[in-house]
Amino acid sequence: MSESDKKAILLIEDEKVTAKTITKILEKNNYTVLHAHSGEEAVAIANNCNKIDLLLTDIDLGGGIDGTVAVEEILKYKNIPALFLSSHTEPEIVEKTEKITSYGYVVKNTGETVLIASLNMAFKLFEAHEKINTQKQELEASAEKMQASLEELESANEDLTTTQKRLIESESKATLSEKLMAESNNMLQLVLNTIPARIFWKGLDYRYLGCNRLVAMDAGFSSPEQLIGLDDFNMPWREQAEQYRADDLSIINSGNAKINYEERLTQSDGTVLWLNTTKVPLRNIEGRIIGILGTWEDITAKKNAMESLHISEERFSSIIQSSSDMIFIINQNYLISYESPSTAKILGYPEGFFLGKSAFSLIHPDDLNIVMQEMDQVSRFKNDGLPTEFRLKKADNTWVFLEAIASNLLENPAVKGIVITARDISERKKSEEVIRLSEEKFRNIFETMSVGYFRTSIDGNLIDLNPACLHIFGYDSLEDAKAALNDNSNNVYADHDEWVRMRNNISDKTVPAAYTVKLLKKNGSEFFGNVSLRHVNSSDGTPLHIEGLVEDISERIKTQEILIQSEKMITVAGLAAGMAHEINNPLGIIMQNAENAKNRIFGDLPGNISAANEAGTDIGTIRKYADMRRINNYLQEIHDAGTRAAKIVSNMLQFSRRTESKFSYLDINDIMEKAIELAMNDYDLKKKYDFRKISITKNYGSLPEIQCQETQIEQVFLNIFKNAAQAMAKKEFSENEGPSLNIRTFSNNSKITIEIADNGPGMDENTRKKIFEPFYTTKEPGSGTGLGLSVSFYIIVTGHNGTITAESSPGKGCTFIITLPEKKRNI
Amino acid sequence: MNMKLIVIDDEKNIRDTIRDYFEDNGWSVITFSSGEDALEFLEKETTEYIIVDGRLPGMTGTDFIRKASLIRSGIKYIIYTGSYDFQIGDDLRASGITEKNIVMKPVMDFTDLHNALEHINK
Repeated sequence: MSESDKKAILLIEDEKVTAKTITKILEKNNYTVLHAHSGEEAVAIANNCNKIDLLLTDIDLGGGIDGTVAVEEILKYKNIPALFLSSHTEPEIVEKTEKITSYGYVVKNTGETVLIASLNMAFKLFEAHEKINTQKQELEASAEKMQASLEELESANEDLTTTQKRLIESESKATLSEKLMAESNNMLQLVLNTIPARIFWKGLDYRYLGCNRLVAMDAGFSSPEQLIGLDDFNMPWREQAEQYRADDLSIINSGNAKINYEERLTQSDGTVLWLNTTKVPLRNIEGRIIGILGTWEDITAKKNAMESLHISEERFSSIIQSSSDMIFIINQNYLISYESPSTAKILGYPEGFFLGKSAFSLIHPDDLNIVMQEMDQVSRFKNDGLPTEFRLKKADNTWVFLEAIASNLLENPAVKGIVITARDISERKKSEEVIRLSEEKFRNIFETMSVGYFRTSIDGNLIDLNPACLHIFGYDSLEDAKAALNDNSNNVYADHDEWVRMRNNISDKTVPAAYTVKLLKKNGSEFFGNVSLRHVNSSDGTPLHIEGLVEDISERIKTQEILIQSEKMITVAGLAAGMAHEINNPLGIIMQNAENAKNRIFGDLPGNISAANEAGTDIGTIRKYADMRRINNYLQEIHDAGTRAAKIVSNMLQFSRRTESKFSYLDINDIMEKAIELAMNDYDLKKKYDFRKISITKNYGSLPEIQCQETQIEQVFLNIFKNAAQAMAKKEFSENEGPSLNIRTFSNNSKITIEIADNGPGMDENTRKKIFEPFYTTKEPGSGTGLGLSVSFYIIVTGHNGTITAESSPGKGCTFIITLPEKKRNI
Repeated sequence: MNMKLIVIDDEKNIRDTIRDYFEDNGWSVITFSSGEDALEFLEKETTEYIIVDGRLPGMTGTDFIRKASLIRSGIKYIIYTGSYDFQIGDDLRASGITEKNIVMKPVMDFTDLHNALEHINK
């Protein structure tokens, strides 16, 4: 067959795989194939190509025009048969194709045989259709002629009729049956050639008497006639001939048909087919067996499909077998109809244990509700469920955590159930628990740590803070703090520039730099805080937010102040000890000389008179002279100044003086009383400040006796009284207010606290900080040594392990607070 | 009758003013600038009172008293010192020295020193 003799088919198919398969089949069957991927392409190809004998088209072509439209378009200018090919079996689509001049409809993947037969049928139908068309035209043309001769004929007819009648009667009946036979033969031939099955018949000598085209093709012949007279041993399937012969023999001998059995057949090209064969005995009119009629169907493809189906089933079954997931199928009544083999392995029950049981049996009662709800959702809305966690009782009565997901496949005819895939998530649960514990641990640290922790956005808006942070700043809750702070931290830093400076220097280090800054509490009061900030970054390094730690270090700073103070004292003490001796000697010289000078002028000494006489004068004249020239005054002032200096040195020396008086257990309230009495009777106080005019309020708590040095504590109290009296003397009181001292003592937390508050002029912060420094005094020169409070400090802090602080602000008076440790008396 | 007093101080001005005061008051006073010189004197003669500086170059006031006590008994001592940390050791206490024998330098008035001398009870 030359190339040009081949029929050309335009295949319109958008699915590549299908197109390839069909093309292969068509080419194998000697067709030339043109392939269009879309309706539009098909129209274009049809336009440009004259040699197209048939359109084989898919209906649904994805986008663009569909197959029926494309065919309609092509058929407008081309008269060719069209055969539809589709997976659709819906009536309306079939109907749609039938509206067009259609030569058939093939369901996709029905196999080579059907496709080729349908093609043949389409060609045949088309040819027949064409023939009818030409005949119709010829008929119409001759109709007129016929009409004319009809009249002639009619007259002749009458003559003939009589003759004919006779003739017909005389004609043998055999001629008629011969005609009938011929018609029947033609019919049979058509069936034989178009039926998509192999048909053959053999005589009693096992030789082929006839067959249809398909058998001839299998045998490698071009026409059925070529087989006639040959037997199976002359065929390509001679390998199977022996078996065929045995079957034929048995049919002929027994007269029984052999129906629908499978056997092999080797084709002319060597391919071995699987056949479904039926052989029946051929009988003549008398009922005698004259041969065998056989048909076979090529079921190789079906067999192969079955084979691959089997393999695929095997594969899936082994996947399910080895899967660690459990698969259940349950019916609409929630009864389990399938359990995968892994179920027994994981849960420890015998195989098939769940079959017929309720899907809800063995589920932990606490989890039952959520599982039932989920199942209800899945079965009602026919969609896939959400992963659901629940506990299931294992064979050993322990609970296993499962995560299951249900898909509703009730309407899938192959499943007809809800498929549940369940997985043992005990391990995951365990690690989740570890994570939860760790989270809880850090949460606890966050909640309970004494250091304040906070997190803000990059531009400083508060996100979160811990209780310690709330406490430090005095806020009630996170919301409270957010409301107050979110205008860019203006309410946190006493100096807003500090915040800006810190923010610009934020480090990404794990241990960020700490800054000491003045911070503001909710109530506006300032305090010193240690603040450290750092960026929290995402994995790619972009800063997500700022986190910081804050500590209230006011107490620490106060302690530091005290330490610095003590340090100063010790320095002074060291200096004083070294200096005292060196200064005392010259002071002694000054004072002793001044005294001697005074004595030798004004003293009642025998030497004075004799010396005056010896000098040619008398002591009275000398004394008068000294008076007139105020020499007495000079000497007295030298002596007084020396005395003052000596006192300073003596006071300084107290810092270095070792304990001289012994510690004894005493009631501080008693010492306070003594100190008040001393103050009342102090000459200096009486004279200059009139201590008696000061109203004293005493509020003594009940105190345990503590170990202390009476005179030293007394000295401290007296010193505070003196300072208070001097300070209050400087203040002008209104009529209804006078100078007052408020004394309070109490015992708390293993220490005794003594508060002495005056209502004097008070002092500013700068002064308050310096009052304990040696030689710091606000009094006029000469009225104080500037050592009183330093010595007090030394006595309380170094000598008694206590603390002494002062609180004051201008106009508000001053309060001294002394604490002394309560040391248990060893009995 | 004249009381006998020895004043020992390395500071000339100190010992001279003390001498002047007590001489004006009718005492008989001898001064020394070191404990060694005073001991030498005590080998030959005795005295009723001695005012001695605590801190002296060479022999200290304490050493002097201990040694002097071995030579002469019955002398009344005053330790006149500018050091607050002056400690009376056991040896001095053995020689009968107590807090009453210590006068802090400088005295506000010579009478303090005078009274101290007269109040020593031996």
